[in-house]
Parts: sequence; C-alpha cells; structure tokens
Amino acid sequence: MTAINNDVDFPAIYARTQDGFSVRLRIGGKGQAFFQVDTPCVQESEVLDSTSQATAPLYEGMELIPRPNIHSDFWSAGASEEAGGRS
Amino acid sequence: MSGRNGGRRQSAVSGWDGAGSTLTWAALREVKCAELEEAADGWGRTSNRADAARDRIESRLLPGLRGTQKGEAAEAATRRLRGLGTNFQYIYTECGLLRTTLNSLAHEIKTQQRVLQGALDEAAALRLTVHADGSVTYPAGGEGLVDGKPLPGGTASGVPNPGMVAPSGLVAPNPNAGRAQDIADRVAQAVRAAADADWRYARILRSLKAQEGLGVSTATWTDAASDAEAVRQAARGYLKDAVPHDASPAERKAWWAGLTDEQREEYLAVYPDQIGNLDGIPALVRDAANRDNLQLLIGKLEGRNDGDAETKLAALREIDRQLRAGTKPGEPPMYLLGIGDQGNGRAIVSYGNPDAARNVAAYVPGLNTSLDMEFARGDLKRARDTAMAAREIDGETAAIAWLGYDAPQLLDGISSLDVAGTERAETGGRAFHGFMSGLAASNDHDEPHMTAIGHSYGSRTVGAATQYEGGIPEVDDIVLVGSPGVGVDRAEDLHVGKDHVFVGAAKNDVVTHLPSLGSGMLEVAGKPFGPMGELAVDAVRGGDDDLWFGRNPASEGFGARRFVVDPGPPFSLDAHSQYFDPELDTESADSIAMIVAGEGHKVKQESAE
Repeated sequence: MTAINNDVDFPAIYARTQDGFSVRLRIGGKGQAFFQVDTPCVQESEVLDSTSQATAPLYEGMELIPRPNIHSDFWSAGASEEAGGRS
Repeated sequence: MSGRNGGRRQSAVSGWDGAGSTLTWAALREVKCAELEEAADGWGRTSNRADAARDRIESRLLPGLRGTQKGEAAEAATRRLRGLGTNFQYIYTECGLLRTTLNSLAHEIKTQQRVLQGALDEAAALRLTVHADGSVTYPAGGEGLVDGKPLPGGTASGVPNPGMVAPSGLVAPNPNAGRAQDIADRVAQAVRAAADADWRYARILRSLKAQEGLGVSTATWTDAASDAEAVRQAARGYLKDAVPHDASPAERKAWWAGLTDEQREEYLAVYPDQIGNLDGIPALVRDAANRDNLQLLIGKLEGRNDGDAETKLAALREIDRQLRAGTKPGEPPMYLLGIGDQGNGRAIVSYGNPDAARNVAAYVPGLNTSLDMEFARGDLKRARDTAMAAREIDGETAAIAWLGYDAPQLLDGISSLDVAGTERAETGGRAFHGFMSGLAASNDHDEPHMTAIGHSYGSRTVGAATQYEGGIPEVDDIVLVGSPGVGVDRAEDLHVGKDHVFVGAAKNDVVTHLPSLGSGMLEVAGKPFGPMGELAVDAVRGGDDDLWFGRNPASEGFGARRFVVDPGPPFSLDAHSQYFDPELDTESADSIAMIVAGEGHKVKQESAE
C-alpha cells in the first residue's frame, strides 16, 4: 500500500509491489469509480484492444462517459447511516 | 492550381494583353472589378466545399470506418480516404489563396481606377481633352509677357514615374499647361500602377498550379507554402496590417467576432500562422488554422536538408499523426493551439476544448525541451494524462502542453551552453502570460478555473509570468514540480494566494537540490546538469533553503502546499521526469489532476507506511 486519500468525495487507494505491479482505485466526480492496473513494462509496446464482447454500452463517439445515474438506497449519497452501517 | 483567369494569357485582368506598354487609360477605366470579385467568390466557395468535404471524411467517414470495419479492405479504404482528405485540404488551401489573390488584384485595380476617374473628372471640369494615349491638350490662356496676348495652347504628355523628371524651372506661363501636365501625370501613373499590379498578379496566378495527377506530395506542400508567402506579399495592401498584433486578447477576440465570414476565410487562407498563434482568437479557429499551417510547415521543412529541420519534421509528423488518429469514447480530443518552426520550435496542444472547459490547465515544460520527438511523445502525453485524470474528477476539463518559448538546452554540456540565465524564463514568461490571457478571453465561462503548471525550468518561466501586471490573468492555482526555484522567495508572491501554490519535489530529483546537497547525484547525473550552476542567477543569499533560482519552493519557508510524490529511482535523472506519469507516480499525477479539476484543497495524500 503506497498511499491512501481518505477524502469524503474523492477517496483513492494506491498499492504497488516491489516489482512495479500496481493497482489504483479512485472515486471521481459524481461517484464514478476508476480502477487502474499497471504492469512494469520493460519495453514500450502496443497494447491491443480487448477482443471480448462488451457487456456494457461503449458510448461510441462520446467524449465524456456519462456519470452513474442509478440510485441505490445502499450505496448512493444520501442513503441512511443505518444502511451504511449494516455492511 | 491553374487559375482560369491565369490561363494562357499573360495578363491577370481579362481583356488586357499583358505588357504594360499597351494598356490604355480607357482600358483601365473599363475593367470590371466586380467580375474579378465574383470569380474570387467562386474560388472561395470551392475552397469552402473542399474544407467541408475534408471535414466530413475526417470526422465522420474515417471514424465510422474504423469503428465498424476491420481487415485489409477496411485498411485500404482508410488509406485511400486519408489521401482524399489530403487532396481536399490542398484544394481548400490553394483555392483560398486564389480567392485572396483575385480580391487583392481587384482592390488594387479599383484604387487606380479611382485615381484615373479623379483626373478625368478634373479634366472635364477644366475643359481639357484627354487623348487616347494619355496626353492632355490645353487651350490658349494667360497673358504673354511681351504682347499680353493669350499664350498658345498645347499638349502635355504624362510622366508615369513621379520624381523622375525634375521641374525645369522655366515655368510655362500658360496656366492651363500646368494643370494639363498634372492631369496627364496622374493618368499616366494610374495606368502604370495598374499595369504593374496586373503583371505581378499574373505571375502569382501562374504559380498557383498543382502538379499533374492526384497525389499531393510533400513537394506540393512545399510549393503551397511558397504560394502562401507570395500571395501574402501581394495582398499586403488589401488585407493590410489589420491583424491586431498589438491589441489585448479581449480586443482581438472582438476583432475576430466583428469580421464577416468571407473576411475570416481569407485571413485563415492567407495568414494561418498568424491567426493560429494569436492569443484571444477562439480555440476552434486556432486549431483549424494550425492544422493547415502544420501541413505548410511540413512542406517548408521538407525543402530543407539540415539536422534542425529533420528534428522538427519528425515532431511535426508525430503531432500530425496524433491529430489524425482520432479519439476513442471517453478520451479528450486534441486541439492544435499553436505551431511554429522559429527558434527551437513551437507547439501548443490542448486535450479537451479549452474554450468550452470550466477547468483549463497549461503545462510549461523546461530544461532541454524543444520541438522534437521527445516533446511530441512525452510532453504531449503529460498534458493528455493530466487531462484524463482530471476528467475523472470533472469532465469539463482541458489540459494543455505549452511550448511557446525557447527553453534552455543543456544537452551538450558547457561548451555549447546557450543559456542566458533567467532571460529565457523572462521572455517565455511574458509569452505565457499572453497565452493565458488569451485563454481567459476566449473561454465561454465567466470565471473559468485556470491552473498554471511549471515543470523544471518551466516553473521558473511560470514564476516570471506571475510577475507581470500583478499575476497571470484568471489563474487560480499554480503547480510547481521538479523546480529549480521560481525566482520569488514566498508562495504568496506568485499572486494566487499561498494555499493555491502546490509543489511536488521528488527526493531523488537532482534539479531540486543544490550541488552542495546533491553533489553525489550530480556527479552520477553527469553532463546534463553539470552546467546548471550557470543558471544560478537568482541564488544569491546562500541560505539553507536556496536553490538555483531563489528559495526552494518545497521548503517550509516558501509556504506552498507540498503534495506527496514518489522519491523516484535513486541516482538517475528519471526522478526528475515522472511527476505526471500515471504509472510511475500515480499519486503525484492524481494530485496534479485534482488541483487542475479545481479540488486542490482536497489534495492531502498521506503516506500509508
């Protein structure tokens, strides 16, 4: 674990192994989550696009991916403390 | 590009057969300039259609093809379409030049027609006769000195070159003679000037030709670059010095907004380099102008065969490649806000539209930066990474890589040292100040959130920019990374409030240490930073906190907010260059992004040891 930002709006957590494998989870604007995994690269190389079928919309041609727009009583902002406490 | 009006004739104006000697004032009077202007409009329409066609290929057909088709056929189609797009762009450029050439010709001919008409009207009023050859007959008049009788009339021939014939001193006493001579001279001069314009424009129109075939080779672009130069020389009187170089960014914005569509198109066709690099002009206009200018620059540098041209060419081609590559969903599009080959080269690239964005950040690179492959890949990536990470926080964000000055080059050690201490930072700082003022003026929001980011010597440049007119206009936050000092001793002297100055300094970054502290590192680092001592003009106090350019911004005494950065690999230069890297120093990159997105007060990453 290299760093933690325990900010209320934009929490983030960073971890890295000795060899340089790293993971990062950050919550961005309006609750959008960003997950990033990196491997150490010996040599610069092309990374191909995923060939598997997407299970979510690809938002073709959109500059900005829409922020989360589904309300969850449990996860969304404004959920009661009690609901949060049960987790 | 072969102009119909150029054609086989020697004259640019139809009806004349060229050589000035046969042009008569009657022919000059009859020239229908409206026809020339109509022809210009026609070329303008062709130019616009070509531009629209290129746009359709690049923004609709190509992305559509890439998004839906795979395989060799699709690749071949993509290649052909790209070629077609280039053809359209070339048509756009050359037809635009033709249009301005014709308008400019009409402008000059009309000016001479007015001179001619003025002379003819005066002749009519004085009852003097203007003959077909331009000579003017005057009647008897005045009084003879001897007999008091009217002096005989005569004929005056015009002198086309004023100043060539000195007044004889023997003034003809017939008062009509002087008036006739004056009119004859004006007629002759108008005809001469018109013939001269005709000759000049005929030459330009003849040179606006394309090579045979459909391929638009680099040689063709080299040719287009010189075409633009020729048209520009000729059109100086027509489009004049109207480009408001000395005005404020807000005034320039107003100037541009006040032009008609036709005028804008002509400026874009003839002066893409000036419009494209003019602070205060809307980002989309600058981008359009610079994309054309990029092709012209590539053409121009192709014509040279030296190392400097090759280095810049490689960078320009790489930028061109990225501009054409298109963006995937969720990625910020690229805008070319500036490009040039002067000095070490210029390039300003924005990721995200800086006029539409609520958060705008500009990054000033430092030591050893120039328009080369490393800039085109590495420095642009820094701006792009910053835009991507900041957009996680706030989608309405644009980040810019700003190479708008000659940064110090220390690659070859002390012998080739072309560093002038803080001079480059001062010159660059003034340019950066102007650029940021331009962004503030062209931004759509009343109060955009703006961030200035300085890396390495670039932080000294940002420091210099803050010292003009009480700070950089509209800039709210300042980020300094890998800084050798910024030329001031306290964060508040940067004029954004000390809580809005953020500093990242890696433990193993040789630039953020003085030789006395980091001598071991400097020895290992070797030449590149050997001559850093030559830069140390601001460091005069010799205190513990001092760096090359005044107090260390990462020191307690400076009073800025320091965010967590990775110490970087020990004893290497890499520690100086990973602040923006989302893989090598994610925490630092995310902190910069957070500040850029206007959430700097939330930057408080703690070590999790």
